Amino acid sequence: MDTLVQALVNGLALGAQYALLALGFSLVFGVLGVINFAHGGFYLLGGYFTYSLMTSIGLPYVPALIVGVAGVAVVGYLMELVLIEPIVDNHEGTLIISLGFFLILSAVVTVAYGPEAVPAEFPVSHVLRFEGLYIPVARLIVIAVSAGAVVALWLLLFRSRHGVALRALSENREVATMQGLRPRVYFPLAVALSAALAGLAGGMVTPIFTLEPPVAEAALMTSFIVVVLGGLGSLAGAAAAALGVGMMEAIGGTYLDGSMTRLLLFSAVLTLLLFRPAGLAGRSLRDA
Amino acid sequence: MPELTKTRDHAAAPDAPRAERPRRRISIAEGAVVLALVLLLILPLPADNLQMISQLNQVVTVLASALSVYVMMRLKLLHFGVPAFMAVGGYSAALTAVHVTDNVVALVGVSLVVPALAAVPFGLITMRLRGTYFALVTFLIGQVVYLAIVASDGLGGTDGITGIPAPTLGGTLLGDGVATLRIGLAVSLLAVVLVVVFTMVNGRRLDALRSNEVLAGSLGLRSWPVRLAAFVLSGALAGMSGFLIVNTLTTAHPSSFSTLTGVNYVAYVVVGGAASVLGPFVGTVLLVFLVVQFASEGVYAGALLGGLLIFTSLFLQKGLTGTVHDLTAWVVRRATGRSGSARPRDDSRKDQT
Repeated sequence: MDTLVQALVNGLALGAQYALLALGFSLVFGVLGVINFAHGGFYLLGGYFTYSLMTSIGLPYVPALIVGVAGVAVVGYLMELVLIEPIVDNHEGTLIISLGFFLILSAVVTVAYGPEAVPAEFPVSHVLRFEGLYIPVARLIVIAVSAGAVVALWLLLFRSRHGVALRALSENREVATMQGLRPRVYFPLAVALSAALAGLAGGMVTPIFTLEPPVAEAALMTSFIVVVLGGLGSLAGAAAAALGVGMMEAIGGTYLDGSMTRLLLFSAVLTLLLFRPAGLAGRSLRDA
Repeated sequence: MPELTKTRDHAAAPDAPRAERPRRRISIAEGAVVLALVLLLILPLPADNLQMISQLNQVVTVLASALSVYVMMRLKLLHFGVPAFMAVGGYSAALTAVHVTDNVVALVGVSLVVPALAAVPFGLITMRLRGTYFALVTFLIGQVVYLAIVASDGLGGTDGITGIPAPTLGGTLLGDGVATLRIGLAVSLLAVVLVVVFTMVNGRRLDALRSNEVLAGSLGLRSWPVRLAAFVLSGALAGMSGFLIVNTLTTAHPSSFSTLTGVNYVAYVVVGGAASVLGPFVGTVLLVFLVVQFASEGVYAGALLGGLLIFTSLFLQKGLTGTVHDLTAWVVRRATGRSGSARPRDDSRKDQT
């Protein structure tokens, strides 16, 4: 029983970080209709920016994380403005561009920091011991910060003027544009927000596990599986799927090999697509 | 409705339908690719020029994978799952060579048929997926197959299958560099011919589905047989490429088929163009050459590919061959003083990235 509870706590932490990743990914698809392959790169940048700020200019972890996340947001903003915006309605073209950007980001990071893992460390390493349970405080912090970020995103999207604008552009761009909303202003902001969420996940999680270039691909795959399961463009679906995937990985990983758990998970999601091609809560595929 | 009546009568006339039939002839571009491969296959190769043999082998090893992407791109679908079917073909050939026979014809046959069969269930899964969603899911297919290989003890897990014997033909061992290249050229030629025949037979269906699937459906064209056939052919092509990789390396290793390598094959087609098989051919030759010359370290190869993908998507949306085709048409128009557009080509539209 203790093992199961332990797995549930780990699953919650995994699900929280997956939610940050998947919400950003789904947000960009929902607003711009763009499948953003650079999302894994933003996760990577979040980790490396935070690490660099701590090691090069000696910032404490929290300010380094905040500045690092802001830096990732700027990179995302510029990517949209310079590369995506000129062909934003060409969905295949924007996918290819984001993929190219991802390759460049990975290459730059690898050249700058090397292919091996860097010694990034989360500042809190205490472990709570409670009736046979061992719960790292770092994971509780990840859960709390992620939950806070998700709530903040919800407030932004559903309780602010800019959020209404983003959702309006997502629902019907032509009508929203006729109402005076400017896609050229909001599209880069949406990508910046998405990049910030991925960067936050990277900045928090990579010091706990490992910070090396290949984590970008893993983050990208996780984003894919979560949004495919939850449904492209559905933020609620993405959040629910993220928690579900995190739980399944943690519980499966307790009893099975990690690769086997992911294999079963990925296979189950692909099988689901036979019956629900749009995922659990996705929009019409014709819009994809 | 005199116009309609006239059209019906025209179609019914026994000597009239010549103009109504789909045009099924090989284009100059496709013929050029076939000719180039045939010449390389029959002409003597400089066995002492190891660098040239190696580079040519790198091109032919991955050409079928680029064609695998190209077939799906004719339907405006980006296929990132190519490494999955390469792995199926490569591992099938490796197991056959180790346990059954090392006859090269049998190995090519296995690497063609097994991935084609494996593509059927995945094709059914992706049948209803469109646009970028298809791209996303094919990425996941690549990951599923990769994880399955790593988790399988029978396939050697993370160590792969080593000690694969060199193929033979009629008792002759085909183990040296030139023989490996000739096998690659023969397989690439087979791949090109399969693609050309498929696109000649289904050219109008592919064009119709790519341009407007709803309209094509309303006119009676069922999309799923064409899509499934394209996906199965794509799997078969990738499988043959997987065999060539295994044959070159004499080992079947999961790292040869990692999910992200699918990006390379998409890049070959995006950069070369997707108007005909000339596009993937040019893209493959160019990018393999550039990577060998300027980015031998993997990290720089990634940056080079990324930069080219961005540049092509922004400025050469039809790829190199499509852009050259348009430029040539423009020059011809200027030279002849004609004001109309160049002869329209269904397969060189803007919608082909």
